[in-house]
Amino acid sequence: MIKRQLLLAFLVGAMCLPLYAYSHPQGDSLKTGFSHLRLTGALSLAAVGEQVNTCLPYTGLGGGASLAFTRCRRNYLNVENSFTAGGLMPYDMPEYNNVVTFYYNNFQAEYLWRLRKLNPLGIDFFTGPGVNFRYAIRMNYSNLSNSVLSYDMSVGLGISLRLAKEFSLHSICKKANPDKNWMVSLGMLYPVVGSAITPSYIGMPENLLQPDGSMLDMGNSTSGFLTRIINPEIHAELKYVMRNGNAFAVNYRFSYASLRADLNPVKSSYGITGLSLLFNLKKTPR
Amino acid sequence: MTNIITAIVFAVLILISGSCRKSFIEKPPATKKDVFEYMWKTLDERYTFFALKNIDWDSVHTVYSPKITNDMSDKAFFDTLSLMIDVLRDGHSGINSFFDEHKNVNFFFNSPENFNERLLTDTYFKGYGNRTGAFYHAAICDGKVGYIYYGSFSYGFTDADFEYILQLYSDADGLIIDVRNNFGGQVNNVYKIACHFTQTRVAVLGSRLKSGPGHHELTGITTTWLEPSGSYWNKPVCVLTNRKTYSAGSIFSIVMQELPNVTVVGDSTGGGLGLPIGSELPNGWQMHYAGSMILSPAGICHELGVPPDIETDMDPVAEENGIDSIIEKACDVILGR
Repeated sequence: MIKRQLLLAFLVGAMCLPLYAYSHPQGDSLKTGFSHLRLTGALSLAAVGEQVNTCLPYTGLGGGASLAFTRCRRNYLNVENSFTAGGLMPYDMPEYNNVVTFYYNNFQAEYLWRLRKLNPLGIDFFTGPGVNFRYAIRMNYSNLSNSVLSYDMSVGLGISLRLAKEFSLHSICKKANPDKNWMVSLGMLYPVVGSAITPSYIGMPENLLQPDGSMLDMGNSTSGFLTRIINPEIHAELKYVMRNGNAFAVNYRFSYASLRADLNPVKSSYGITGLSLLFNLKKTPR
Repeated sequence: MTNIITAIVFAVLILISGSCRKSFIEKPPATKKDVFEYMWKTLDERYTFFALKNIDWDSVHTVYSPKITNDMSDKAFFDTLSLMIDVLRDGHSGINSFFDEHKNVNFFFNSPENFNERLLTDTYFKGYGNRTGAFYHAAICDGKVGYIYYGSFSYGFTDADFEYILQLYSDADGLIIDVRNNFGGQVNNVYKIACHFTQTRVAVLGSRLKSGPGHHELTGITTTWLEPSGSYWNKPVCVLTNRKTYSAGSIFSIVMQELPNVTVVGDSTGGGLGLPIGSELPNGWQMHYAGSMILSPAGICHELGVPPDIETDMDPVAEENGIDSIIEKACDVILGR
């Protein structure tokens, strides 16, 4: 047991080492630009309401990770894939201790322009297009015969908005570094047009009996604007940037989906709280 | 000023996330009346065989609704719902509660058993026979016939297991595959056996799924094709069935009847030709029922039982003398006696 803890401590230490080893002479900021590779470990709070095999809402906890590339110069580029998995249980029904395992993956990419004119408060505004692709798979192992599997997928193209502000703790604590090495940012991606796939009427695909049949049926798709495929995502982050340009961050991401498909509409939400290590990728100026 | 704006934005974010989540995290109404109505409606909209079995589901509501009261005991409620789902006369239908489970098995009621395991051990296997994977097997009729018993399509086996058995009895004049008392399991195991008995691609099944709430709302027919695979057995084959051959066992009977050199001997199967699906009820109980319809390639649904090519029951006098007359009939077919 102690050996395992030592090994874990060593691995965590080894993972953190590049934060210091990859040195950079001066910290990066919104003004000078930055380029980060972000690794995040996260805990998630999930909730799902669906119809294909249950009328019960399920809630539960999960864990996950994400990998992202962020580059901020005159414009802001973010490409991120996050994954979380865990167990759901019927909401407020302690007598029914059924566990549904869930897997949730969210890919999103944003390319935003900086709106300098909207900067009277020292807040940097960015806006531009964003795209997301998300899928969720749930396995319900109670006595449901061939209705074990349920899923939903959606892809959306919409507007992304990001606000960021750098600040120093010096105004609060005089001993603190006067450099503005903290950054708080808020963002939202709201798909305007989207498409979603939910299970067929009874949840089984038409090719289930085939020798090479699949459990997924991509035939039941729904497309729509704004009110049909509602799939916004909001996130908030507090980041501490070190002198070498690497950073730590605490972040919260809330993803909500209301897929109003003709068959088996699904509502779900995932609140994901993460701790990130950000590795500076910006080349050292000579 | 900026700190105030930031705080306001954060508060709005938290409110949005909380209200979105709250919008659908609500328990459905779950009084006994509610559960009954949900169960009746779900079956009304999703069960496949109302027309085939000539079931008037509205009259079922009329009969059972007055029997449900919110103050009845859970046991009485469960028993009443069990009686209601039994109206479907379907072995794939049933209900599970936290304290009991009910499954409809009337598909083999009042029919001859047509199977006696002791005859296998005492007369044909002389013990438990050989076992390869999920199969018990032996050479019978003076080594002229290879006999295989497969007790459940839930029992897995490898391609090598079945290849070994085919090789073992390659000098025999024919093969018996006995699936009596086989209640079904994985449909894929049907194809893993059947693929050795054809040299060409054959249409073996059709299937339709419920596609809407109306009793007649079904998808079009999807045809299932069987591809030949592994070594080919080109001699006579008999498949033995009885009323306890059910679900994947019935599918096996349909598939094998489409193949050359195959004769199905025994009693009609129990049916079970709607793949079961399930739903959770508002009180956390679960029910399952047929949500699809499996057909022969000719488009016939044998939900009430797949008829054999040669119908025969076990002779009780022969049984007394240690003879399984269904196996003997299959030997006669294979050996041309």
